[in-house]
Amino acid sequence: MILHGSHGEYLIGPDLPLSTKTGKHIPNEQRMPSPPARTNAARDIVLNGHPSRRVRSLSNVYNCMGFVFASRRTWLGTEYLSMILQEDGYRRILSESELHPGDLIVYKDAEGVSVHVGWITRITPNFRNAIWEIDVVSQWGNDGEYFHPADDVSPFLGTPSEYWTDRI
Amino acid sequence: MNWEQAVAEIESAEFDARINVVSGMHGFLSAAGQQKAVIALYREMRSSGRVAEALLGRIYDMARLSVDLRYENPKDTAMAVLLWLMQSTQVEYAALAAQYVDKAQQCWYAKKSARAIMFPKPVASGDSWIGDEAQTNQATAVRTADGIISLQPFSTGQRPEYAQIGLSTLSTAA
Repeated sequence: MILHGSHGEYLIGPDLPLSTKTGKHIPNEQRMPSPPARTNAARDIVLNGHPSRRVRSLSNVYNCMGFVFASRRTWLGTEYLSMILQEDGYRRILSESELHPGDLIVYKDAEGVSVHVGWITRITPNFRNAIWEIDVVSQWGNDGEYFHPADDVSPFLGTPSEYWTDRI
Repeated sequence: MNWEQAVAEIESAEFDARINVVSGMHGFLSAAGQQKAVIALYREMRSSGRVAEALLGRIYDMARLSVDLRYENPKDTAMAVLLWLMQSTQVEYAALAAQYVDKAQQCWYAKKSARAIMFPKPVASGDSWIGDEAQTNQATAVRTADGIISLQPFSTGQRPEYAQIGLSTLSTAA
């Protein structure tokens, strides 16, 4: 549904016909593109001092949830993440050694609320430090889509907390 | 930072980009509440009714600006943040400011904030997200012995005590 004002201006919407695998509707809303000045400011802020981050796209008609669950077409609230993971048959991965590219990474804030989600693109063993280096691609709110190390995100996007997969 | 400098900062593209990295109203307001300009303006609005009057005029001007219909309103973030601060400090002006903002073109957070003030219940038929999330727009000051360190929005889960807690908390804030 798209609502326009009396002068033809955009008001709300549209809400795409998006649903989980079980048919439950997922409320969503497409956002207008940002003005170029804002888009450029966002890119500069995200990349400045973070050489490991790379831009994939500066589009903002979708958010992180829309990137992962709606083919980059719309915004949907992170409060629907648990419902979607459950209804779409995702299972949680507890060990980083079991991760594969295409699995999901969920970021949570200090209160334990899910605030960000992205796709894992690469998992590399770091033998020297005995850790897994995880690379991610995710949409940063209204500021564009970036390739980045899993733990290199804006502080407002929380910290890496959970991994999920729909692999069978 | 005086209030004019704070407003200029809040209206900047850099401020807009900094807090729009999040994906929802609660995160947006949480991010805004950690910005120095927002905290500075909150303090000024708490101490001076003149500032609130000036901001009401500024909101009126911003809401009437012509925008490029290909893009989102460049003042969307500024109007949303100023509305939030007004709702948190000068409730009597907030309703009027919300009416101005509701008429602004091509808005996102500002429109949701205005609708939440004008229509306290969810507004989008069949869609609880838009209305519910926007209900988070009243600030509480998080303090230390040194003073306010950030402003936080109430979560939807705190709705039953929304007005009472909000007003009492704010009345004791700096």
